[in-house]
Amino acid sequence: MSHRTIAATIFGLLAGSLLQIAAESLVSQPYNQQIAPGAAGPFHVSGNRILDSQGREFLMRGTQLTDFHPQTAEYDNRAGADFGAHSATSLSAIRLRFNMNAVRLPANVLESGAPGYFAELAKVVRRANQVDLLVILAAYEPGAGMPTARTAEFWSRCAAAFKDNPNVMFDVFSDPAPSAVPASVGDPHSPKGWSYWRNAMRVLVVSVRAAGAGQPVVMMGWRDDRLFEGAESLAPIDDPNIVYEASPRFANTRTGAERDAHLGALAERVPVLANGWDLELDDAAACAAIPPDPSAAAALVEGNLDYFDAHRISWTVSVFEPGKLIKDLSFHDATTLENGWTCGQSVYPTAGLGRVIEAHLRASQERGLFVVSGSGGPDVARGGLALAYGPIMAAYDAVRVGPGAPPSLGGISVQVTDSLGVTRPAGMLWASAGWGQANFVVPRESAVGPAVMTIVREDGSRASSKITIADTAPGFLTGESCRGPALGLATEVLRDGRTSATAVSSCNGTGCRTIPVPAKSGAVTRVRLRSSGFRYAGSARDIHVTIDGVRVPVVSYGPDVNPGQDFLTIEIPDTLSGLGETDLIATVNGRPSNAVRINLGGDKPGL
Amino acid sequence: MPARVLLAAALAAALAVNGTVRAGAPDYAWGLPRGFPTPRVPAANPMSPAKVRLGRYLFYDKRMSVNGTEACASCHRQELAFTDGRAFALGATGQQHPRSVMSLVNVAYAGVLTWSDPNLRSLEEQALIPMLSEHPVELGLRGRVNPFLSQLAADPVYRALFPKAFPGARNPFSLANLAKALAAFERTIVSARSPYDRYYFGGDSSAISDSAQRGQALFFGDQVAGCFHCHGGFNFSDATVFEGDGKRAIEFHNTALYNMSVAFRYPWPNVGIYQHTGRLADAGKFKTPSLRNVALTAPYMHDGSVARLEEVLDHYAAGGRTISSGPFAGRGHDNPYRDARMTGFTLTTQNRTDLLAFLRSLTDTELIRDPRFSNPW
Repeated sequence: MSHRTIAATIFGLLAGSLLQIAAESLVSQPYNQQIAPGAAGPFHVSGNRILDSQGREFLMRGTQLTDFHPQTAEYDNRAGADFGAHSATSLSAIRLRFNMNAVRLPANVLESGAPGYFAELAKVVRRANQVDLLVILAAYEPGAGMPTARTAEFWSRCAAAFKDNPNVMFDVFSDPAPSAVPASVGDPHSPKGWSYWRNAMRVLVVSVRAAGAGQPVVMMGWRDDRLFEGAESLAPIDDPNIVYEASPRFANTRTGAERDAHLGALAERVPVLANGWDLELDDAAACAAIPPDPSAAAALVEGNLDYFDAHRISWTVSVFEPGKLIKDLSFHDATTLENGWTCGQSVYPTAGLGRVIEAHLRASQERGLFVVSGSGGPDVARGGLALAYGPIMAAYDAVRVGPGAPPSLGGISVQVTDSLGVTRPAGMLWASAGWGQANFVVPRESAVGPAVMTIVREDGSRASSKITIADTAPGFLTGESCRGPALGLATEVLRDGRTSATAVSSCNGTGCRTIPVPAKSGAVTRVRLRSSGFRYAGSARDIHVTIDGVRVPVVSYGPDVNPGQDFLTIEIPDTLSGLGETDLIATVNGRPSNAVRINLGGDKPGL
Repeated sequence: MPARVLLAAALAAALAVNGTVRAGAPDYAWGLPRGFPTPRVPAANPMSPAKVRLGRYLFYDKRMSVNGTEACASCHRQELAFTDGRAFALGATGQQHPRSVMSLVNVAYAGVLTWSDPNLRSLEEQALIPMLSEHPVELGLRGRVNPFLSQLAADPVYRALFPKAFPGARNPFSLANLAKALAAFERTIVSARSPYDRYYFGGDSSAISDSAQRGQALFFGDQVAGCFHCHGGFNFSDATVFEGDGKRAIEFHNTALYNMSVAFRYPWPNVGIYQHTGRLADAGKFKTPSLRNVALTAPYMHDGSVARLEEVLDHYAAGGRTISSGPFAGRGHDNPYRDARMTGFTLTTQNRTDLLAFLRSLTDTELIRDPRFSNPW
């Protein structure tokens, strides 16, 4: 097997084009990397904070999904050459790659009368919830500047459908238009204007509550550049669980004073969500307000992010679609500003703020080294695989040969300094020359908590990245950048004791595909999956594995013979026979794995 | 046996450097910065401060040329990172060299020493070429070596320097010793104080601009430029060797500059290492020069046919140069001997700006003002 093939299959978990970018000092990273807390509702509002079921403050850090449409629901859940925007794989990337914890899902109220509408919508919500994402269901009514009875009716039904889901919020009306305010009311930002807005929104809140739903309701302010200007006199709606939402534009949030005026003052009194903010480089007019230098534009974005952090403002940034937050739906690589842009033109790969957001949420530098686990998440397991991207700068490309993981490869070594300040060498699996990838094994003796990994090169230079070491960081190995078909072996034991074993996927130069797992009625079928980050789970019961949302038994797990890798063996229940290709996800210690694909063959039960 | 052959044989014996290399005298203080390994030094010519000092005087001594107009430093000017700013070098008598002057910066790490001779790896031997060559005449020392050595022996400066540089020698004033001293001096010309060095090796994140940092990522990445595959390592050249790096082949590359409708596709006599290997596949292959101080070493390529750094980027981005008319007309990208890496790539305006900023961050302004390398006379 060539080095290239080995890299693609064993070490190339994330070998997509993640290549990110340069300065190696950690001076400008004053804080440790933190895993954005997953959604743990029910949520409620207390003062200007949103609290979760444990009473912990919850700040939404998320993005907007593309609109939900029942007629495209299946397409938006596709998995193949790329992955639908509402698929488990894409949602898993939002949670793990971007370290986000919320998605805003727009829904057209005019489509909600379609048969099975809410059942299909619930599937998207379930997939998002499964990877710890809060879902903000956001209604919009085409052609209406202010909500009509149709939106109120939508919420009666939608809230009833989701009232028992603790990890959703209801964003009752998108883009209330100042132009819809009657002339008799006058300026929308006057006390009368805000009163008009309040009354219209209150109808929707009543619809939600009347349906028995107690989750927080999100209310968007006027869709103009003045945001919540003039809202100081706004009398609060008589509901304890209201989150106020604004859609700031960069042109109006360049300075701290502007941010204070539009958002900050409000955030001192009530919880605020900043939604949809983007550089809008494809919009010539909006783009004109953005500095043309990539670093200056990135600084503008970072200025907003720092402000939101400091003022405890939640946010859902941009849209998780190609050309906005990400380049494409195949690898979900973040868009970048590094290659420049031409205002008003969209040329692939489209420029965008994705990488700035990703770096902020990972507490890494945009052009610096960053490290992920076998699942693509920012937390790495002791004893598990870790992959570093950026200025690796090995003397030459190198892959480990033979058993074990040597302390150096290609003229570089990796050191891990744990939260107790103890530095240990990491076993090396792969090292790239230039700007590329280094795979290593996190020393199993490492203490959990914030840590630093450092690449030490033979020329004496170094590069470091902050990492978070955990006991577990579940991830499944695949042949394609931690997504797509799982790698593993299915074993079927027939009633007469005969056994057969087959791989669950195969890869060639053009990609990977699943192979149906034989699941005959009466036979016992087990699948041994190649993985990482499971070995220090407390017990098999602590590992929650689902296939198509159905929990399946974990038979065994532990370290594999390959350094950094684990095995996880599950049993396929008869009830899942004939399911076809679907998603497999595990959760350990509250952390989800990457979503991978598995194909369950056999006949459907009862056929 | 012709006199030329006799002279060459005698000098080779005197220099006795081929095949045996080791680090300089163990006590020689290179003063190398972080990241810079110890250069290989021939066992027959160990480094010493006295020898380096002598070499510096010789390097700048115009009496070495036939008409007293040029010294080594005439074509290797410190302010231009030891190049001459010309497409083709000019000898003391005005004859034109067929190729562009190579920089002497970090020549101590050069695995091969000229654009297209894979066999010339001894700096001591190479130093003789500009002194003695006749086609073209460079310094024009041939035929007047002994008078020149006598001249040196009569000079009070050299009377002090030669014996110190070659202690114990019965007559230190020899052509071989002259070459050794020049080589020793040239090996000390190490460029390691560029803004990029302060950034990469020194950890000073503000030493280079954001633009240069972006350019660095492009340079060392595969997604766009991938320049590092040939211009990698601390010396930005895959023709780099140093003490302890093990034996490896030096690569030469055909960068698709030409695709003329003639046998070798490149204009004669610059047909690359084919002239030495006789393999057609080697036509148009030249050494990868170091990119250190590249902003100072225009014009570029073996024949100085690319005037500006911006054009160099355009050439690589296009995957070769297209010359639409004239005697050199042809589409370089179609050159059958083109390096497989010359596939071209898309550079945005921003990428181009950033790559240029990165390349300019390799300029070592301290080197070009360093009195240790300047004219001592």
